[in-house]
Amino acid sequence: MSKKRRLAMILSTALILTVAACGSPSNSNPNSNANSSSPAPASSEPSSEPSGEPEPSLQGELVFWTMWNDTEPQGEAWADVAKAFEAKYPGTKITINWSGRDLSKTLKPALESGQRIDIFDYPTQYGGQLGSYALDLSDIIAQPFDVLGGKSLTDVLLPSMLETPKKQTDIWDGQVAVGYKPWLNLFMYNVKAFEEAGITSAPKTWQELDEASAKLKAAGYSPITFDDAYAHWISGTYLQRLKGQDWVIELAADTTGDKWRDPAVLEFAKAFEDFAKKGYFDANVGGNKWPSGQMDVGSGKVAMYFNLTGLPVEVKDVAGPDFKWGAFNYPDVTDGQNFAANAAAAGATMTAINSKTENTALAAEFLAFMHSAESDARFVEAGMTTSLKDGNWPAELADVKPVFDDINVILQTGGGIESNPEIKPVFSENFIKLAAGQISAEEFVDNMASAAKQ
Amino acid sequence: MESEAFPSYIPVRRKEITMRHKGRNLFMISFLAPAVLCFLFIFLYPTARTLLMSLFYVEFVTDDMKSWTFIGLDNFETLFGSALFLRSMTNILKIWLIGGAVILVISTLLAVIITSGVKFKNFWRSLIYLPHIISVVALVTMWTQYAFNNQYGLFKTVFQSLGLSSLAAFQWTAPENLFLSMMIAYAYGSIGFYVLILAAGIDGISKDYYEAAEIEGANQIAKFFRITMPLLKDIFKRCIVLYSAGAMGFFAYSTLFSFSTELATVTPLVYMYDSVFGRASGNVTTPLNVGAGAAVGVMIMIMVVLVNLLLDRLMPNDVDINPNKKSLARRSRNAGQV
Repeated sequence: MSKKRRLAMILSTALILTVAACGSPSNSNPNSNANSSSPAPASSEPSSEPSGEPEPSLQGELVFWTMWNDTEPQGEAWADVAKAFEAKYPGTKITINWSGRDLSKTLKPALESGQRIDIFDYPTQYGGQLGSYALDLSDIIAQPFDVLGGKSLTDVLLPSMLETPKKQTDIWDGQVAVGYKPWLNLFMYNVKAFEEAGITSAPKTWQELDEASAKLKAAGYSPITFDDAYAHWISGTYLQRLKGQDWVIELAADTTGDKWRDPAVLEFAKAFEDFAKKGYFDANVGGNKWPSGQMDVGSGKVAMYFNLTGLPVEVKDVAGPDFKWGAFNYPDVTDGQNFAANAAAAGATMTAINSKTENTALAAEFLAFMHSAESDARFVEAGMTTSLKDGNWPAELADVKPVFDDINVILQTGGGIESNPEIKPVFSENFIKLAAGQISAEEFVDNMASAAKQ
Repeated sequence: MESEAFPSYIPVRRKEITMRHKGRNLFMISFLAPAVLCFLFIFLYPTARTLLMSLFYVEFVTDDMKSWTFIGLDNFETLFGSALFLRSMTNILKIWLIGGAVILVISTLLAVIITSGVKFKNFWRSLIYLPHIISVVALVTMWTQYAFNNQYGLFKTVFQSLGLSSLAAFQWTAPENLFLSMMIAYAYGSIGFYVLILAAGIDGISKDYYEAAEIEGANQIAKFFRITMPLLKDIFKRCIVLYSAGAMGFFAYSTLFSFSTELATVTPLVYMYDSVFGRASGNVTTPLNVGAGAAVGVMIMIMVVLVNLLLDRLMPNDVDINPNKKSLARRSRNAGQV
């Protein structure tokens, strides 16, 4: 055999071996790019430590795909919770895949291909598409757990943590997922500004919001601002308060333009035109790019911002530790639906257990553990809102808690206007112009009727 | 034919040459096969699948083909009935035509200045190229939060200090001005790339032409239009092709300038992304229509082909080998084999 042929054979063998090594079965390592939450080796063998002899079923590995990144405060909290779980149950290992927001693109293909995933954050983008992969948790949420002090998840969780997943997935049979990090869509405000303006109680009606805004303006504050990204929330919710969510969804779907000529639309536009004329909107609302507007609230320049309850976390670096937040539900409007007392747009991040998991008991235990008082406190420390009835609220959000307690009817953010992605950008653009005083209420109606007509 | 392929004055045996040709073909095929297979797998397969997908209703992008529902051309009908998609087409046309003209004219101007013997040529070239290597995310954040900001942005501060209050009050990021602002940022990030290519092209033009023109009394403008422009024609064409390909895939600037889909910044690719992956806002998610997203992909593909056909028609390639030279080249090659 010539030298060249021998060399070629050696190289070919090396190549084949390399390819074979690269193509080893994925189930030998269920998550090659996952970062272990703990340096402990993966093992299903019982711990050699004498103390805390675990039950046989509470051993092994769980693979958890999360929507957080490990560098985010929320991700760091998850890593700590996983470590605490491993410490409590020797012989267990939680492998976390830090998918980040790309989870909404990668999760379904991964589940379909049979990749090992035991627990996952259920992205809302999927709606009910992952229903067949999510274990029905009805029995699990009813069973008592030691980590919950002998109570069940149903006993300790805020009711909305069980209801919101049904609404977000539109799967009403059984319990497809359990919520955490709940949020509400509220008017978040600077308590100090309200006190300086002499406002003693949060507005409950549009008229009271008008009066409060006048006082804030007199006290030297810009009363209200919003960013381009959320222009349809503060506006669409008015229509929702006035005519109801179903009516707004019908309005958004209108292709004749006639429904936009309804007197209610003009009434809505007039209300905001009036606020614009009175100077209640910050002078920069016409050009605010997220997050400019919310930063103005954090800096103390503007008093109110209609957003999610996660806003304080987003602006905490600007607001500082002494900033005290208040919150009130979107006010009711004259002859409206009277939603302010108990209805608001709400949501939560969801956790589900894979129906194909081989260790349901361990997955259920981990689900319960993440809602234990200890874990919940760690999540709250990371800026997440508590999912527990008796959970801790950070001092700066103490005024927000009562609003959470009152809400039991869940509505859509934006009032329903976003149900038609075609009309929403037109609606937002025209509303920004209306609030900036660039167009009149009548022009708003004309523009929308014209845009809706096909 | 035979006399052209095997000139009569070269005594060769036909069989021997045929064998050699076969051997050479096998050699070429074995070298080309991996690249061709890669091309077929990486480009042709997704293209064919996208074309097919555009004719079906598909719920999620990775869904098995068995779950697809054939709907014919309904997805295309949906697109042309969508005001948002039509707006995205208008935007992409403006980005391609107006943006392209402005960017390439400015790039040419800067390339000419840089190659005109200006001092510190390399420094200026690096300075102009620098924005192109900065991450688009960082670049857009800088523009939206620090340059265009309506409270403490660079433009507001500068115009205020110059006493130009109306310009200082200009809302760069208001809906009606957002497209302009986005294009300024895009031009800032793109110009350096084209300046580099054009400057290299100008450097490649022999100085003899300019010296001869100077002796004949030509001024700078005449030299530019009579020498630089004609000799840069092929480079220009490549720049236009590169710009067109980039413009058709316009996405990053749109999504970074708009947190949610906006009329001023929506492009076909943004529309496609929203259709294929959805967009969550609060507790609302836009409905998925992967088939419509694929139809957008097909539309973009057609646009790219049309643009290239248009360019070939408007700017045909120069023929650099005349028939006589070609036959001479072939004759000498055949002679060399024997």
